[in-house]
Amino acid sequence: MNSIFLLLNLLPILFLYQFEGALHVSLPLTNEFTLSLIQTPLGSFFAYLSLISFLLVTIAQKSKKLSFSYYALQFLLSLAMLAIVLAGDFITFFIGWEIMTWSSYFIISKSNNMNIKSLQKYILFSLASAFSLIAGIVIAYSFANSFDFVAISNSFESMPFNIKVALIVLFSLSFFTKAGVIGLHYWVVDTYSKAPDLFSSILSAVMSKMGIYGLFLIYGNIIGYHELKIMFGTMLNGTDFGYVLAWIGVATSIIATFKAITQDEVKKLLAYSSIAQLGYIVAVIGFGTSYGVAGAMYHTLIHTIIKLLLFINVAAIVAQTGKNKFSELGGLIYRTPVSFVMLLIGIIGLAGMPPLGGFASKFMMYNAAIDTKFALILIGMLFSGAASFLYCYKLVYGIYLGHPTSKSLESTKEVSIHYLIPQIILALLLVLTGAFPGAFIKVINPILKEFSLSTIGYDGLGVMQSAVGNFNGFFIISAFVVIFLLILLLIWRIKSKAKNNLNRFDISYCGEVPTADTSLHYGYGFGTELYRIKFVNAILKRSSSHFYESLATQTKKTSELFSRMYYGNIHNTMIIILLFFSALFFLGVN
Amino acid sequence: MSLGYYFLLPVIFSFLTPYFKKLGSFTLRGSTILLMLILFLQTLAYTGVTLPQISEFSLKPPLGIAFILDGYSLLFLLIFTFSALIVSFYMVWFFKANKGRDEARFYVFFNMLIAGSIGMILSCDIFNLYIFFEITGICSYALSAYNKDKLGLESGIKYLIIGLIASIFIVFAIMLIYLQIGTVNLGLIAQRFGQIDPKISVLIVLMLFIGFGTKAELFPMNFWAPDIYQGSMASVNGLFSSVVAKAYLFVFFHLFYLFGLNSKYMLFVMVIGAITFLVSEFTALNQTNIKRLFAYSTLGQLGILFMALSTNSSATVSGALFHLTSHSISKLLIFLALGILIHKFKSAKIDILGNFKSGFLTIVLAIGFLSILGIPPFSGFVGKILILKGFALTQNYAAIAFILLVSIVEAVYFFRLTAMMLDKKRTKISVPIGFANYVVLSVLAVLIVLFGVYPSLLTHYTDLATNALLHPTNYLNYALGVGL
Repeated sequence: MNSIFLLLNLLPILFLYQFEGALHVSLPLTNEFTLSLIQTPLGSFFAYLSLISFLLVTIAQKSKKLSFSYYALQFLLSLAMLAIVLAGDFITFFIGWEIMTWSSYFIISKSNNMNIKSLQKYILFSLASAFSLIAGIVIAYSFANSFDFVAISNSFESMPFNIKVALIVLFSLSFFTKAGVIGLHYWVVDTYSKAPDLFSSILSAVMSKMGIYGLFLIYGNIIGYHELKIMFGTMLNGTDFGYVLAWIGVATSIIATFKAITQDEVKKLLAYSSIAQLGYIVAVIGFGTSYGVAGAMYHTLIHTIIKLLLFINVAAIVAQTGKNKFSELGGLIYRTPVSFVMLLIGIIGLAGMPPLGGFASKFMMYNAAIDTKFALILIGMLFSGAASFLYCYKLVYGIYLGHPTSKSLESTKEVSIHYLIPQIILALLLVLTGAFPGAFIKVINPILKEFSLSTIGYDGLGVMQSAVGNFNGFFIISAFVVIFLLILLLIWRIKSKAKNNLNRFDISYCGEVPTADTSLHYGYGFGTELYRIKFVNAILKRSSSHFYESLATQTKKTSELFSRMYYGNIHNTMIIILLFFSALFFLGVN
Repeated sequence: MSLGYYFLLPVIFSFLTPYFKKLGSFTLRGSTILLMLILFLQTLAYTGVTLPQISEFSLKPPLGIAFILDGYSLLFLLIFTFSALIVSFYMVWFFKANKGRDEARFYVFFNMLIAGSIGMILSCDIFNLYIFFEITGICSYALSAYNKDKLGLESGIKYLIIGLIASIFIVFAIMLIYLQIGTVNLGLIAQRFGQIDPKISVLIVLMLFIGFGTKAELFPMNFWAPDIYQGSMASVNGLFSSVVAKAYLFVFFHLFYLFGLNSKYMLFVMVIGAITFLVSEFTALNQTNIKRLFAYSTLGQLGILFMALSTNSSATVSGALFHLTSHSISKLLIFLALGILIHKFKSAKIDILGNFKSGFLTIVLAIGFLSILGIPPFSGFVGKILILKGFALTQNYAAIAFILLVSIVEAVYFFRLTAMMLDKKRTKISVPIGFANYVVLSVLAVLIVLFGVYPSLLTHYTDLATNALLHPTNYLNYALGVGL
């Protein structure tokens, strides 16, 4: 089953490759609707990103026994996403968007951890996002008389200002919900943590990117950064609009970062981290400068790679140990060394430390903020970037370092090779994206041209140019490799003969002798001290759940109120009909 | 074939039922299937001819009575005969599974119900229309009381009382029309309706509105409807939802546009439709009985249809007719599938019904749910987007926002049911389905998907129907007997 779908997943990649950017299909649906697929540089970028992700996840899924319907739905999901990114009109886009919604819903429902409440949360937010999208689509249609992207883009300039704003708000709300911007992220954490372990990687790495694709499509292609500048005016070297969006993104990223640090469940931490990282992208996407777009694009790529890597890594550990909380894990470094190295590479990328791709993308985004002179935004981004080190550390410490918390962990074996293959590929990609930023700029430049922005220079594949000077990724990574090898040599020289695989009670304790149930994994709880910092406490204590839960309660109350009318007394029904008639009659006659 | 056979054949079969019963249940079931097949095939044959078609009896109109088939009634005729065919197949399973039920009693009323509904949409004079209205009504009362248990009898009695009240209003309206104009021919009434004293015309319109609005389950005249659905069999619910309610809706809008009431009463009907939609969807959230829940869902969808059909814009009306067709198919699918579950579990409580285990039923029910919610690639999506597009073209953004917001409420209970079906923690009991039902439900599910991915199949007919509804010149000419 797995091999068949692995091959099936290859087909769309080959199909896209075949067309080399010249794909243009239209298919009449009715007299009024025509479905069209057009391959733009932007669409190709996201198409390859999602298709390759699906391929890698399918490799990892070989280790599990999954049903035909699971694979079929997942394949349908990949095709739906392909339809989204290749769509040339809004009907195709929306059909892809909704098929994505329900096919992912049915996959998520297959998880053993899932409950009705979380499923409802996921589907209702997805539908709210879709309905906000369709409202925008039909309003745009009423002015352009067409669903075609080009036609709507052409007529956008002539729309009244309030309609323009309404369109921007409706589309943004829809895509923000998918990307999990703060306030609209209520569904994200629950869904990512309860979905099937390997499918979480798709949700976080690929599906959230569809929101980002939508934002690019709207801001860059349909409205155009130039038009946004004219509509809202400029501020410093960027736009007013970009500044507002940047604050939304930065707030998302800071809040989610702190929430991530305090999580005990591994996948919840990753979910919050996903929200935080997408916050960066939202922050720079509206700048309207080449560096802003390039930074957002670069981070989209890097975040996809990292989240695939981390979620697959965690899924493997959960499959191997049956535990999904930091408080239940720990000390796996000697038992699963390859996984440890992979996770280490992943968090180096996630924290944005040189020399991997994560640094290059963060560098590009900081660079964009410097270029537009949005100093406060830059500070906010740096702040949340620094804070993200904490959850990265928690991730590696909680799972791999310290002492095993229970006896069962001591006999953990290295995870299955099917989990490791995609991780190794992704780790290599992370290294490559760090070493050759120029190559990425080469990919980005056609997209910048599509948005009619100036292109960014690059010097060979290893060097990219920026506002604050060139960045030579290749040199940095070479230097790092040399230093790393030297240190490795040094350690190897002075390596002690200590046994690696110690019993968990091989520790010094004074007086109190730990029993089998005593947790020896002390560091897992870190993050709780953050509650003592007033500013952070204020962030952590607040939650959008109160709002949504009270909304649900109000709906229920309304429903109860209305259903009281339908209590089935036929006399009253008759009286109501007569009264209604007489009321209408007197209104009508007078 | 004369259009009269659409009424005559079911009536003949209905009267022959006692003899068929003596010949055995195979003949009884087979004859009904045969009848519905003939009617459906005949309707398919009519899709190829030029419309409108007329069959007059004895005298030529406007003096005599006649049946007229135009684009608008053709669409409904297709829906009705198709639904009837599907239900007649389904009943084969039903009576096999429920041995010892009085089959003849069902088939008599079933055939008559179809005859009455078809008569309502074909008849071109208002008095015959009233007769068919009564025939449909009486058969509905009898069918809803078919289960001779407490709930069934309650629903039968309630339906009877409400039906009588609706009839009184309509009879009075017809009387007033006859007093004012001196004719019952729809063409003549349409011509002279503007000449009636405005105060009287308001009264007539209101009486027709109350009469047909009560039967078409509009708020605030629909408090009886959920009780009826709760007491009836699932297959009868399917008929109520996709045939009977649609027939009353047909007449409502047929008269609405024929009498030229659209400019004056458009906003009123739209608001009533919107309130119906809002109240029903909110009420549905709170239900524990699956039949009641889908009764409210039907009311809600009728609300959208009333909103969209009253707009007088061809884009919206065409979308609404597409949505109506899609809703008929989806609701029929849902009710028939639920009938299988209700038969197995002997209960209509949602909590109990969620325990079934059948991949096939899960898939077809999910298709039905997604279609009603208007999610692609199912037929409901095309209908909904056409309606929204129509509202957008007339810059009616409030309606768009309203429909979409209430649709989220609708999604709450539809997806709660879906989640319940998919919930692994429940104790799952496998449900036998029966070969006939595999066929019936598959046909419906395939149609939903087909109309979703290839809507041109249906838009041809909805466009015809829209044209006939909004510009009834041809219909009027035929009804007046011009050029015959």
